[in-house]
Amino acid sequence: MTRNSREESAAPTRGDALLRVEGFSLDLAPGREYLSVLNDIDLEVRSGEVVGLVGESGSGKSTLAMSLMGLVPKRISRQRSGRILFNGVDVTALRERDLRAIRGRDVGMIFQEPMTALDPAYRVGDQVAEVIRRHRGVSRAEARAQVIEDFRLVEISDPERRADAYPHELSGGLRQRVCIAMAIACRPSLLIADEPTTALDVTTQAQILELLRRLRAEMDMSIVLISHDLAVIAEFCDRVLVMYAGQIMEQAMIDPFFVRPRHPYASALLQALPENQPPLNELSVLPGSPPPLGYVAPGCRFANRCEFAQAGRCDTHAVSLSPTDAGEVRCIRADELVLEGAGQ
Amino acid sequence: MLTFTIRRLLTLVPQLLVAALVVFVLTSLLPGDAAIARAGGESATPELIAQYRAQLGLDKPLVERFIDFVVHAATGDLGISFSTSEPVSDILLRKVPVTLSLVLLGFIFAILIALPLATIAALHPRGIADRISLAVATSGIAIPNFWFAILLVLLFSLTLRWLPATSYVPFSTDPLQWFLHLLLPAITLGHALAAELTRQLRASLGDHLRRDYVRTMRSAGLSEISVVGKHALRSALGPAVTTLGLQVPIAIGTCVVIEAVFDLPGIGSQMVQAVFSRDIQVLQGVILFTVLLVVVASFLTDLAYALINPKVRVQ
Repeated sequence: MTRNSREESAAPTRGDALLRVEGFSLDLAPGREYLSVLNDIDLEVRSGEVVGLVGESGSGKSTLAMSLMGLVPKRISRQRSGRILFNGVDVTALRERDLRAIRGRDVGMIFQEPMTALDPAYRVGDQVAEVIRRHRGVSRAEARAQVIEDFRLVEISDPERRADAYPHELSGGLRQRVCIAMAIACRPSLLIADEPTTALDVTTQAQILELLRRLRAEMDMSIVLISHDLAVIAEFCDRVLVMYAGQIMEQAMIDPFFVRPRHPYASALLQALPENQPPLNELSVLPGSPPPLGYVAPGCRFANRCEFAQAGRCDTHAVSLSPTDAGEVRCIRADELVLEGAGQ
Repeated sequence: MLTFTIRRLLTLVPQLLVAALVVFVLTSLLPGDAAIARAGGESATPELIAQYRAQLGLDKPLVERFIDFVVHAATGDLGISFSTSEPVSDILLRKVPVTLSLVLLGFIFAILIALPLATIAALHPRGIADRISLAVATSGIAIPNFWFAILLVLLFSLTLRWLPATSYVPFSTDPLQWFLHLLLPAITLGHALAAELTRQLRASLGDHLRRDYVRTMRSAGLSEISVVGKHALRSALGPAVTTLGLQVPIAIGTCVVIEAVFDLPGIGSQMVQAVFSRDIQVLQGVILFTVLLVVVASFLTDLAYALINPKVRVQ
């Protein structure tokens, strides 16, 4: 499917935000002290839209994904500001039992490691059936029939036999399909996919992405796809959000973004893609490493690694998001710079 | 599962044979001579000693005596006590229920302490329950059983007069009295067993609660009761079940002390008595029984493990 036809098919429902995150900040306490992990996150996912969330390890992508459904343990976290509206309801203010009713029914989640994402002690079909029974209150037989149907939907061959298998009897690709079947079992309006293909080999990766694309079209579901792989994002998403050190650095429609990113960090990521570099050259890499968890620079968080940073300008004041023609960017020099995108 | 059970059952036969051999050799090597003891000591005439030796079958070669021992044991004939002339199987039938009751109640008690304590502790690390579970584990390991038993007797029997301090009432006579008489001994045993079990379960449940599948279950909106009770706890029980199985022989050993403190007519006190009277036949019977108990316990452990973990069944 081309990008244009995808946009057209989703057009009628466009405009109403299914998920809207406003000024969300979160601290985590992995040890004794709270560290700032997410800072002033704004994002919006419209009905039927596929939004990509990209960033290095430790940028806060997964924490953000978990926060969307209140899955970060309250014991070790502290919300500093903001709200997360799903269908107009503030998720951060919901009680745990109301959250549980939404999870799995209105929002499905899939994760990176299909190898460990399923309970090794139960048959995979029973695990999916438990989720269906939890949200729909149907009988065992009905749930089982639905499981078989869903397994067919996610292209698991011989679904009756596979439903009776234990996780260790299935390949990584099959397990991820089971996880997808579980996530979409209640036909959610939003699917959060946290690195769904990272642990899979390339062929399986392509199949899983193709499956997700098909399911999105058939079920008119919004998807938040978290990945560190820009190639996957480019292939799959309508819009992209670039995260760095707990902040959203740039938010843009996919087409202008890849050709003309507005944030130096986004530009550096795009140029570091191996497929965009001439063969036999040394790979261009982004020097330095992201700041440690919780470290907050006085100015722009990317300034110390940025080749366009200007002393006295970039490292003095915190930078806020400002609108661009295709989205938003968190860089005070955005209008002065013309940055390179993926190798043209 | 059925083939696993049968295969595992078949391995019991050689296990028991080896155990019987060890028991036989060990008791034969015991210093002292039952025939001399029977004849009234070293001052007895050689003729009398030889007569008793023939009567007890001690004049036959070791191999023949071992085969006799196994064949008879298999048919339930464990010989006749050297000191009381009572059939060993009758003695066992009388004493085994006491010890079995004690061990069973002790394990139930241990599980009743460990399971809720470990679960709450794992759900709230560094919380109150976590501290209590650590205290239980430490005290269970550190406090000697006989001392703990004496403390219980002092408090509940002598001061409060709630529970009997000694003797045993068979279950068939009066179930309530049976339970009341065994309560303090079972608490003593259970306290010791709960220590290891709580620690093991607390650690393994804490580990499983951090696993990816728990996150998956939570993200699918399952209730905490299902996530913890049905999913995490089931897998976490694996190591705990192993611990339980390994504790059976320890529990029987502990019974020797506990039966002495509470004056219970069980296997433990019988074993001590048999050792002092050089009653090899009784000793063999008692040890054979405890070995049987341990072997069966390890069989049940494996079975439980296979029930919990489907991967074990295929191997």
